[in-house]
Amino acid sequence: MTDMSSSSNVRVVGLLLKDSSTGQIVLLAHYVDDMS
Amino acid sequence: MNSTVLASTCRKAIVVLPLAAILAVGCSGGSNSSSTPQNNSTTGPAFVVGTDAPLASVVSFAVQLKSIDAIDASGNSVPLLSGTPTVDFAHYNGLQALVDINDVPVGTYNSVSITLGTGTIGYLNTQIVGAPAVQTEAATMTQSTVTTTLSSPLVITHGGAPVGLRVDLDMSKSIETDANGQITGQVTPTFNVNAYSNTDSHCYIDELVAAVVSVNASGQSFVVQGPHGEQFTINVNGQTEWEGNDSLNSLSTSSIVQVSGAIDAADQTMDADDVAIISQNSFFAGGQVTYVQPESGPATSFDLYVDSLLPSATGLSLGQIAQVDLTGSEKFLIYWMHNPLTQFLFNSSQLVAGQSVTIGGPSSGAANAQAVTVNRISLRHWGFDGTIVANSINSSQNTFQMNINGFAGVLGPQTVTYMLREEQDIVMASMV
Repeated sequence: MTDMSSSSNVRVVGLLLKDSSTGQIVLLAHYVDDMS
Repeated sequence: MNSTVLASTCRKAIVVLPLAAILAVGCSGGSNSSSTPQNNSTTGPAFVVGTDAPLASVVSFAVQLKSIDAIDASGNSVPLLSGTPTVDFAHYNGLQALVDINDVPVGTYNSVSITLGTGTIGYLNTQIVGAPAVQTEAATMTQSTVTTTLSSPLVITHGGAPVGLRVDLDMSKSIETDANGQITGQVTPTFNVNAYSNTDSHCYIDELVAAVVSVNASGQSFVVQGPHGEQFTINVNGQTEWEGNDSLNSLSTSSIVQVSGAIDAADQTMDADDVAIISQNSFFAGGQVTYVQPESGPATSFDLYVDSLLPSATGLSLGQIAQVDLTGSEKFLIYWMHNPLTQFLFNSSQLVAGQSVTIGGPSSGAANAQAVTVNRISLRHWGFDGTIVANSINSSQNTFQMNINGFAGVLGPQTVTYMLREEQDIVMASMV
């Protein structure tokens, strides 16, 4: 988190899930890449 | 693309091996030794990894790799590919996959020349009513050969650990769009190429999908073969995790597996950390969910953009959108997550557009692409690209928001809230 900055381009790699209780889409990811 | 990984959350790179191409991964930095090509009898292992920086709505950019040659300071070149595979760079979606691994003459190589053949662009048309459709058009290359100087040379030694190239196609810079964002068909190949060693964390292979050829139970290994015929030995041990309570004894020559692990120093060998049997019936397909019916409640069917397929001789084909009909008896799995909660996190009621899944079952269920039936559905990793919303980073809550720019953003919500859970080495995100 400390390496992240606003407006930077990132890629989050992970599993896309739907929260069964809220219906929200949740992403469980292994890592974040800085794409800037 | 700047592939710098945020250190706090990056444990390893994830590699999806499309069935359209057997990939070898490697990351490097090279070694300190220096040599030049000598003769064909003095060789060392070298591999090529493919990846991409995605472009929104582009679901496929399949292009023939006619050659990838390493060139030394004297202009001597050696081929790093043994064939001319067609690789779908869009399938990577930022992930890495093994293209090839071969023994090549030892030497210090300072540049790389990549020659492309014909290519096809597939993109998603979401402007129509109902389920999205895929449209394709031929790619017109403005140049077929691209030569890149390596920032760190590729140093191949005899008897040394495998080293190789990470070939990153920047699709957003390569595929031309007009003022309205429409794809024109013009492609100016733009690569970022770097040399790596097999011990680099970016070279970790998270997903190799291949068919089982043989099982050596006493030797704790099995051999797999991808669609291009290249075989790999997969070593397992007591630390290897198996999905769905499976084990080495569950494998047969009808099994198709998904494997995560690292390239071993031995030729064509991988050490598995995780193995999932995604089909026990000789049929497998993978891709992205593009449409789910009905929108809420248990799904009765979903559309799948097929980006990987094994075997090829079914009613399905790469690049099409197939309809998978659900009967309620399918087994739902989550790759790299095998605990009792899995059944609550991913089932027929939790299918959403944008998910990357694999399906497996008997070949008879894949005869009709518009009425596919399967036994297993596995959720797999996928890359979500976007821009962090200004002032949205909340370090105390480990959250941030981002606007999704890529393929998933076309299919689903485009504004996303992410929550990082660094202690678990995962990232959570909720789309709004």
